[in-house]
Amino acid sequence: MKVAPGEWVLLKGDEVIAHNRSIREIIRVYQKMKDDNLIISKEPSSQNCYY
Amino acid sequence: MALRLVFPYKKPPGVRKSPTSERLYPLIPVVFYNSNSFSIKVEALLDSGADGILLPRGFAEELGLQDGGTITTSGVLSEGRVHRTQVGFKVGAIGPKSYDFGVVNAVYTSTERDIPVLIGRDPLFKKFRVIFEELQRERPRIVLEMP
Repeated sequence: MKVAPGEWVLLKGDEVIAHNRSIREIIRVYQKMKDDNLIISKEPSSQNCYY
Repeated sequence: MALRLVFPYKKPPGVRKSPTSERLYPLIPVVFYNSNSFSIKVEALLDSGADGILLPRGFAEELGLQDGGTITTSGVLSEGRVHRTQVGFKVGAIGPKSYDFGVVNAVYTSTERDIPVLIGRDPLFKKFRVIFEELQRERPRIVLEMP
């Protein structure tokens, strides 16, 4: 799954389950899935700096 | 030693499975929770240059955190207003290899900003010896030691 710079990501292990520019959307998906193995992360905004 | 937590640096999530990506970051698993026991597990960037915990506005609002008033802060490239708040904070995975700080102080941005969840020095560095271990390591890592 292609993730754009700066996007929020929902991970299960190393697998990207969902990605979105909005943290709110990712949290809503996280809530709905109710899976202890999920974790939210964020793609760096650029190659030179995380944010 | 009471507790020792080790977190290998991680590749960005979008290229985590790529064997060719060489970018690695000090991302650590943490949990934030509110008074209704709603919790969010997130990989946060450990930033020793930050005073404390900084959350994006949307993250704080989805957790329903209280607004404790605004203050002005300055970073490397910009100045901005943030809101004081308090939030439950746990470092590490769920289970014995984790540490629950209870309710701690944090700030969140006034507007949606393109930042990750940042873990600064307070409260993590007050409880743990924090080691960024990169020298002579094929896979750099963060080591948290509670003396």
